[in-house]
Amino acid sequence: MDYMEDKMKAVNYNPRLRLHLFIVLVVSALISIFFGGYFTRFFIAEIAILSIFAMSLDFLAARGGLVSLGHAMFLGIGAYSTTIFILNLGISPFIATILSLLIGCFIGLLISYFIVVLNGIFFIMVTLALGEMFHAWVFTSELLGGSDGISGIIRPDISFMGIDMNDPFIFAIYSLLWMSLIYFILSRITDSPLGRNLDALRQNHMRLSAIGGYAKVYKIIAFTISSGVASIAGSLYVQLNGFISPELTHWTVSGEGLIMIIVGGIGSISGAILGASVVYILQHELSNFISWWMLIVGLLFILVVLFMQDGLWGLIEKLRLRLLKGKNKI
Amino acid sequence: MISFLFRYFKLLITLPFLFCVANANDKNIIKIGTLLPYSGVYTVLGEEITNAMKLAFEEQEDIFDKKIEVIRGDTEVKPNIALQKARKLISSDKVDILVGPVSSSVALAIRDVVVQTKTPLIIPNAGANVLTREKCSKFITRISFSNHQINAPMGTWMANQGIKTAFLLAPDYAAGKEMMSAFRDNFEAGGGSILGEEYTPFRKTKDFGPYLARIKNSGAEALYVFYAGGEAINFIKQAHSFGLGDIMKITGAGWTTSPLFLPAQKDAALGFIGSLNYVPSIDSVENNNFKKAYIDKYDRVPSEFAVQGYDTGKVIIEAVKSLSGDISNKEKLASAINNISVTGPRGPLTIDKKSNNVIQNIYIFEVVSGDNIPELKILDTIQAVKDPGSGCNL
Repeated sequence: MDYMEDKMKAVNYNPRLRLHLFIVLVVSALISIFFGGYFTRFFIAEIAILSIFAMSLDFLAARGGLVSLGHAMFLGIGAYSTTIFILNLGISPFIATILSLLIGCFIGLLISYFIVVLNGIFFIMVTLALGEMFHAWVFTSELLGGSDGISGIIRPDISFMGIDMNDPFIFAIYSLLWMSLIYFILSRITDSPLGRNLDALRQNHMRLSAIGGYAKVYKIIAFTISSGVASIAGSLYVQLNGFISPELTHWTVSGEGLIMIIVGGIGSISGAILGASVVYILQHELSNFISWWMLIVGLLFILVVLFMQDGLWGLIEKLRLRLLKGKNKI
Repeated sequence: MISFLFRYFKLLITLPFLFCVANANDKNIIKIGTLLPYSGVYTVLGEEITNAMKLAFEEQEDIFDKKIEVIRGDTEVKPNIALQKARKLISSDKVDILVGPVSSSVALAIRDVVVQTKTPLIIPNAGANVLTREKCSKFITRISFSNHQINAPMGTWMANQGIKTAFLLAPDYAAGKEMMSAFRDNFEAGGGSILGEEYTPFRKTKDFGPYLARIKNSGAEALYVFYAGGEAINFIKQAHSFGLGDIMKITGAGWTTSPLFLPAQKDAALGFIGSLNYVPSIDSVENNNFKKAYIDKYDRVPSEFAVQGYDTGKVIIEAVKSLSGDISNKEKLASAINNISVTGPRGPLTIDKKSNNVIQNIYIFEVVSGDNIPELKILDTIQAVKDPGSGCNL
């Protein structure tokens, strides 16, 4: 019976808390960008882009109830299509990002039409297989640079506005803008009737169908939105690094994304950003000191899964409740 | 709102300011940043290169009162991580010279950052031809090899030995294809012909049975193969139990029977003929001294990777010496590195002015039985081999 109760439970989120956490994170990112050096700015831009990827996984897992191990494929689709648009077709990088968003959505739509009927472990296995197929194809494709990848990807040129995008300061702000935009879009969707329908679908899809909801359509929409968002992350990522290689499409990247949202707390969109930041910073800082840092990250992850199932988001909520209680007593 | 920000301020501890620490630049320390894999599949190579480089630095107590400090950057064999580490080493640690990486995709990823920030980079392994061709730079010096450089001489040599037909086998990734095409070009120019070729899924092939059958059926006189790591060990063992060596000559790029893998391959590797830029059996003062020092310190026979690391260390020392210890100007430092010629364990080394790729001897060896594990016996030495360096304008 416990299991059923778990399934019935909606993924908790508190829109106010979500917004506050988001603002706190963006403000601290801005502080780091302003006061940090060359490296810090790059680092923040990277975290912002990974957060976009984490948010796409979060949306898919929490709203759609679908856990994907092949989402790095969409990161790759965004990245490689941007690369081709910029280098082979000479399209400006900003438009390339928009186009790669459309391509990501389109491919997501196609794939999801066939796979969203699957549930649980079957869905995970199919996404994993699709992701690995994409990785194997990219890895051996001469057109896409094979295992060596492609370099020389440029960033949007807005010098007519007197702004040099190649300055890491500007690009970090640009990435943050994208991250904020996607945060607002995803939180709007979450709070909209569509989000409610998705919540209902995840809790009991039979009942949703019985009262006249289109279960499959909602799932397809969730998957398509999520794959489009992941494509944007991929597109920005190649512009940040000026380089793309097949490693970006490996399933371990999807796995890392899942770790980020589990650490952050699934279902709270800003929790995904927090999770991405914490996991990435932890990895970076630890790997500077010790070569067996992976062991520590793994142990921490196990501890989070065992003792903090709502991740850092859950911790914050608990803290908040405790603080509120304290206030009421006085 | 302000109270809210304050309430969650504890969370911010992990976030900003962690990276803002600017390192003071001590003039008396030469900072070498390594971009090598210390975790992941190539950990052994990263350790070998670092160990041997440190050995070279230890032999030289100090240079013009300067100490050498090695700052490790773990690339995890992931281009994006390596790029991040490169930025950190260049901008936060302010290293004078970068050493790395092992894999070509990582090298191509960090290439632009290195060139833009004018940081001298010495490549101690990555073999992609373009690094010293289309993508060459005066700040990038390769002290190891290009994929072409190792494999092309073998094509000519085998054609000269009277071998008329060959079959190509390599993992399906950029380096595997570059090596095979270098061999093919020279082998065909020498009058040989390729009867067939197979590219196996990279790092995923465990059973070589179907390929071995196809190689046997091709009726070629020789197999030319390249594998590394676990695949090299598996392939050599399976080819041996298949009896491929009785039907045709098994030849290939020398890493397939690297001293790192021979303890696992044992007698299965006997009879393999390969080409490499270093084999432990080179009989020279430099090599004997190096081998002794390396075995004393790390208790194992050095591999070609260790030699590349050691030579990198030597080149750095010589370059600093030639500038009388003044390494503040990075352009001068880069050009000093490119003007070095040293004699290392693998023989005389000079840097090709045209492409900044090393000019070195290539050794053709055969695997013969030794005391415990097989040894590499030199059959032929091809002097001063260059990479064509086409497409590079330095």
